[in-house]
Amino acid sequence: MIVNRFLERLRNPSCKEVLKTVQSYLDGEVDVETARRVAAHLADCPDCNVESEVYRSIKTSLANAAEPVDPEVLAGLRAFSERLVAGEME
Amino acid sequence: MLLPVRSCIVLLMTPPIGTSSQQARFNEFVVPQLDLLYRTARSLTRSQSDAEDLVQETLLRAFRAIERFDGRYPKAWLLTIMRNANINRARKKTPDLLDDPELTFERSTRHALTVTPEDNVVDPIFDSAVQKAFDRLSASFRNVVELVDLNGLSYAEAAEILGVPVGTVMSRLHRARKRIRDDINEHGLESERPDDPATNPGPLETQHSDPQRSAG
Repeated sequence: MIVNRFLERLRNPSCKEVLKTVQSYLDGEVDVETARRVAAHLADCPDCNVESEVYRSIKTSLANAAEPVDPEVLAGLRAFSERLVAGEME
Repeated sequence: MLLPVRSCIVLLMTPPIGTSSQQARFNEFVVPQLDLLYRTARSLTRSQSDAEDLVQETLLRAFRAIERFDGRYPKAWLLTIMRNANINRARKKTPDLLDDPELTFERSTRHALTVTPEDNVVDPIFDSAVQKAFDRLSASFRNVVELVDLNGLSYAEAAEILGVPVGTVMSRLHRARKRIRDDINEHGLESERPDDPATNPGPLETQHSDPQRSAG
């Protein structure tokens, strides 16, 4: 039993490790294995899960604040590209 | 559409008609990134017209170079072109501030973001608090938050456009978000009607636990 707990601790990251990684995890900037370990820890640790949700909320809120691109501007740039490709811009 | 003088000069150096390969590669690798390019240019210039000029100049440069592009990582390739174009642009505008592209970037990001009503639907009070905390960040922290969280760049892409190592992007971004969280915790979730308990639920920790707790 003690050995199993020891092995489990080796396999699973501590709260400290998770808190160092959680923002990169939310940004999708960790490797698959790290993401799996962090996700498993968050599922089992309410405190770290709260921490993760705070950062997730901040990220979502910031993303919501992104000013949308004016469709006319985008259409203008698309038209510019088309004229460039067609060689019409001498 | 009138072209900026600089774009016209670059254009004169461009073959009048692209080869079919050049055209196909441009359509494949560049055109799908127009939205990203404009968003990033807007972050760099803080002006719609300057952003359009910068994107046009980036497109012209990309068109000229497309046949030398190996097809890998088009976003990173385009962001490098944009970064260089922006450095040249800043150099011509302010010849006394030539040597620090990051400083140029920081100077260009002095205005606050605008939250549009249609975006602000989930939790306007929390969003407002985040916005205020964001506005209180230093320019170097705002830059990286804007590139990653608002424009959706990866760490590597943000590093490319800023001309700094990926580790620097990560460090600034994480510290910036922590400052936002600490700022909200310090100032609370202020509403337009501070006396109304229904719209003023108090500091962040009442909704999102205590951020000062020690790691387990």
